[in-house]
Amino acid sequence: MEIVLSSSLNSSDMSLFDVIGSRRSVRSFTDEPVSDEELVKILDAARLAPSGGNQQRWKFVCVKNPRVLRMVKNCSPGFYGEATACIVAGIEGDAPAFSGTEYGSLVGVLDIGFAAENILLAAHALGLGGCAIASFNSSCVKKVVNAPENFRPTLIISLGHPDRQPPAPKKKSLSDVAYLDEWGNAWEKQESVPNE
Amino acid sequence: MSEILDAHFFDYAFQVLNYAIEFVKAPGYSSLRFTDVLEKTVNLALQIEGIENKGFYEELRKKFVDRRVMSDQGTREAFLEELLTMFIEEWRKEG
Repeated sequence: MEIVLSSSLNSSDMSLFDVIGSRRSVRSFTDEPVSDEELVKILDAARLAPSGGNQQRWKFVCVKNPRVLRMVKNCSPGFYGEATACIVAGIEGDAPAFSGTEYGSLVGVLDIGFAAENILLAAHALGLGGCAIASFNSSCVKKVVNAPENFRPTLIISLGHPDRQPPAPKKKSLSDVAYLDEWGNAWEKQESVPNE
Repeated sequence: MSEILDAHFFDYAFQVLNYAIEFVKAPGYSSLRFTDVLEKTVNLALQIEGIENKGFYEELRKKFVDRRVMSDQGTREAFLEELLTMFIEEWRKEG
C-alpha cells in the first residue's frame, strides 16, 4: 500500500518515503507568504501526531502576522532566515505535571518532537520548508504570543517557501546506527540501502 | 526612513537583550558582556539623530544607572526580565 501525503495544493505527488528522504532543514526563504490553507493542513498534521497516553497536552500557536513574527524572531537566536510564518509548539499543563515526575516532563517534550516532525514533513509535502528551532527565550516568546503561565514553549518551527533546496547533509550509514537482534551485530540486508 | 531605523534599532537592541538572557544561567561572563553591549547600545540610541523614540531608550538608560554589575545570578535574571517586559510593552504600544 502506498501512503501519499501530498495534498491538492501541490501538483507533485510524493510518497511518504520520498517526503522523508527529501526533507531538509530550510533556513532561507522567498518572501511569498504561506497560505492559510497550507497552515491549517500543517497544524492538522501536528494534531494527528502520537502523544504519550494520548494526552495531547500540546498547544500550537501559528504566527503569520509579520509584526508578531518579527518579535518571535527577535527572541530566538536560533531562528535563521526570513520565514513568513512559524509555529510555536509547546506543552500546556499545571506546574506539578512538569515538576512532579521527570517521566511526565520527558514524554511531553517527546510529544512535541513527534508533532514537529509531522509539521516538517507536511510542510515539505506541500512544497514548503522549515526548521525546528530550540534556541529561543521561552519567557519572551510566551509574552509575545500572550500565552498563559502554564504553557511551556518547547520548539519553534519556521515555515516558508524555500528559495533553494539545501544539499543533503551527510548521514551515517544504516549499518552504523542499526543492528540486528544484538548490539553491534551487522545485518547484511542493510548494506543494500544507499547511504545518502 | 526614520521609522525603519527605529524598528531596526529596536530589533537589534532587543536581540542583544535576548542573547544576554540566553546566557544568564551559564558560568562565565557572557551574559554580563551582552548586557554591557546592550547598555552601550541604549546610550548610542540617545545620540543617533534619526532615532525618534528617544523616550523609550531614556527609560532604559535610567534602569542601567542603578544596575549592580557584579550581582548574583538571580538579581541579574530579574534585571534582564524587567528590561524584557519594557521592550515588549514598547512593542505593544507600537501596534
